[in-house]
Amino acid sequence: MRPPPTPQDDQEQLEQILAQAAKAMRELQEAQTRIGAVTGVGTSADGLVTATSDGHGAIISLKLDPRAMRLDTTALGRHVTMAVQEAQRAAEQQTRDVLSNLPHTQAMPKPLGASLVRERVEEAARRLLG
Amino acid sequence: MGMMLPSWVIDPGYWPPDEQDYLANANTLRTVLEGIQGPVAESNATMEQAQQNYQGEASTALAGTWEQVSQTGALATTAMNLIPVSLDGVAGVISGSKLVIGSVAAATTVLIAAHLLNPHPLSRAYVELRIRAMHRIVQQVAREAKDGSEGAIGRALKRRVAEYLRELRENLPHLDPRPQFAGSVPGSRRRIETASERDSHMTMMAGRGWFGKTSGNEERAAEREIETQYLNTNYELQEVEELARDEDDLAADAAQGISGEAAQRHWQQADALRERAESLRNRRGHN
Repeated sequence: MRPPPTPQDDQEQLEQILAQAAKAMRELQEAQTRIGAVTGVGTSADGLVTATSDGHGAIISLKLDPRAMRLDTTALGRHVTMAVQEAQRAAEQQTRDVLSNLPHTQAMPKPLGASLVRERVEEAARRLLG
Repeated sequence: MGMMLPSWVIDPGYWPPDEQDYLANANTLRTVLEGIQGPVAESNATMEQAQQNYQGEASTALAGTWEQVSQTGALATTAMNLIPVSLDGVAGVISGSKLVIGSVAAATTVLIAAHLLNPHPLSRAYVELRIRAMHRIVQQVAREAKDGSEGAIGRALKRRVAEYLRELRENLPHLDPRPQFAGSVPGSRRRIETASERDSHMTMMAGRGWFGKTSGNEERAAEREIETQYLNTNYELQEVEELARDEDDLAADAAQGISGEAAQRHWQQADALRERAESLRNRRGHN
């Protein structure tokens, strides 16, 4: 029968998990910097309105061509909405691309469950009962 | 010093204790027991030598008495040897619990950091859900470890030590009392207990089901039954917890898919399953 893991084994395993978590957190910090630099640009169909969004979806600029002022309010609203949505979509896509390329984060082991503790209890009781 | 968990994961004043304390106590006890073995072996050697050098009725009587004393000593040592085994077991449960809690905390931290970078509108709600789930898991693991150490391991230790102590008591040397001390010294044939002491003793024995008036077979059958119930409850508990985890995942997926209503429904189902798990744990505690 294989001997049960010792507290030393557990400590080593936990250190490995924490080391992996530290790598993942460093990777996420780098990702955060990259996401900070993301900008998504969206333009309305006829190019009268141009919106820019950051990596978190916030609008950081909105430019209106002077010709846009000739539009009525309903049409202008539609053009602005279209440009803003396109900018946000573009920024979100870039952010997703950054987040989908995180090998250390994706390699994080699944968390262990309470069943490990129950197995230890049962193992200890079995050893006592011989 | 054993593994240390950060205070934001679990209150250090509450749980868990230091597994190294248990290991140190187990090692100290082993050293003490090893220390006892030497003088015992020396005494045995001296008695053997004495029996070789002296013949006759007195020597035969001495040999018989020494044999009984040796058997008693062996039983006591076996009972004592179980205590370091149980301390090792408790240390394993504590370090295993810390490993589980640490792995959950590490995975949750990474997951939260990743979700906070995600521009999805429900990311923050998902993060809160994960933090709540982590605290529940930590509490559950701490509870499992406490119940297991105090319950299953404690019961197994009591049962085995009680087994050896019963054998020890039954095999104690019954020396004929010398007239001037008859009935008043340890090892005399009969000890009269007062009614109240006997009653309390019997109540304790009956309550524990170890020494009562039941036969050995009945006791063993009852113990097997308790073991079976404990294991069955454990299996059922495991299934319910897995279902709760599945519901958590479904809630998370629903939250990702912007279906707050579905997420709420799965979260409620996960809560209901956790309540069921809690009731199973209580039932197991009573077993």
